[in-house]
Amino acid sequence: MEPGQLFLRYRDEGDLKAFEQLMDQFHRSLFTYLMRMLGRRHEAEDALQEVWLKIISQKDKYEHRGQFVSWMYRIAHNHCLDSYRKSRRFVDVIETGDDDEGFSIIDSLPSGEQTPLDAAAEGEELSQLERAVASLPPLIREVYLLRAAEDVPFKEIAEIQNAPLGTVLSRMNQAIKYLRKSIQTAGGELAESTA
Amino acid sequence: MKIQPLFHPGGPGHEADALEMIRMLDIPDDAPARRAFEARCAESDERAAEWEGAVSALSAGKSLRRFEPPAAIRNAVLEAARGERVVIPLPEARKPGEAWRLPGWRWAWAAIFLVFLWGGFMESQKQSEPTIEPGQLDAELLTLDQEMDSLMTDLEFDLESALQG
Repeated sequence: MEPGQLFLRYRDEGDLKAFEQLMDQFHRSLFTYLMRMLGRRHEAEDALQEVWLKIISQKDKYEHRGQFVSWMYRIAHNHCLDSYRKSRRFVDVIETGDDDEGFSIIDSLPSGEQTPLDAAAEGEELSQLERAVASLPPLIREVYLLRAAEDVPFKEIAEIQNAPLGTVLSRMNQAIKYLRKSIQTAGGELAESTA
Repeated sequence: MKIQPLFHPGGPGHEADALEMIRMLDIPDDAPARRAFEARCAESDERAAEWEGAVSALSAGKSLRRFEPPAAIRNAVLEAARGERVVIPLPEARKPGEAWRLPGWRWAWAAIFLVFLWGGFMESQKQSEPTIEPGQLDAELLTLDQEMDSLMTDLEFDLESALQG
């Protein structure tokens, strides 16, 4: 059954099994997304719980015509933005995030700033690709992760980020070029890094 | 300071091509539009390499590590979904006068406490009162008697002096 229908069965009929199926499908994906966006495990765990609780408490706001996945990630996206603002991490990156050119976003990442995945991995061996993805600015990283790792279409990512489709495509273009360049600079190829 | 772009798209036409290429990543492999686009890319080595790079960068996302959340979060969320508000318990506000509606056993303990408190108070009062021995009382009375005699003598003397004067 499609995720939106499962959610409606939970909301309208109180079907807990439907909600459990939704959790089976998205709990791990959502946590992985939050880990890569927030970096620290304890922050991601708190965020995971809060996002699900918001989904439950705001269930009446869900519209049937909307895609459940994009609605869920929009709640998660807003949570991450709030978290960045509260902790004042990457605040410049967020505030310049709607720049159509997008180039200033990459350049505004403070040099020497500990990248989120560095904090998350805590000593674990990371692939070149993992490092390159972690060093992307949040909004560009988010587009890449949602499209490449979670299979969310660009149109839905535009809804999640509340940005025009062209901006999302541009961010994906920057992500791909940056990843290719980073990995080639490190002496590898994208195909090798995925092996 | 002017920020230098990290990427050099090489003009608006090139950028538009790049965005069209990215948009094509959303089109299913076997769709006619995608096949047509791939055929156009094959006409130029540069374009073909870019398209291949974009496709491999997209598929590389699947190889990224997945993280496992703690089971406790899932259980807490499911409890919340059942309507059991146990995740973040907050103290409930009491209605006016509700504080007096205590269970019986609490009243019993309060009464016992008050009895002990009263007993302790009475005991402390007893200990603080002065106690007078019978011998001491006689001595006190004798002293008072002597003082009265002395006062009477003084008064008589003062009266006589006044009359004579």
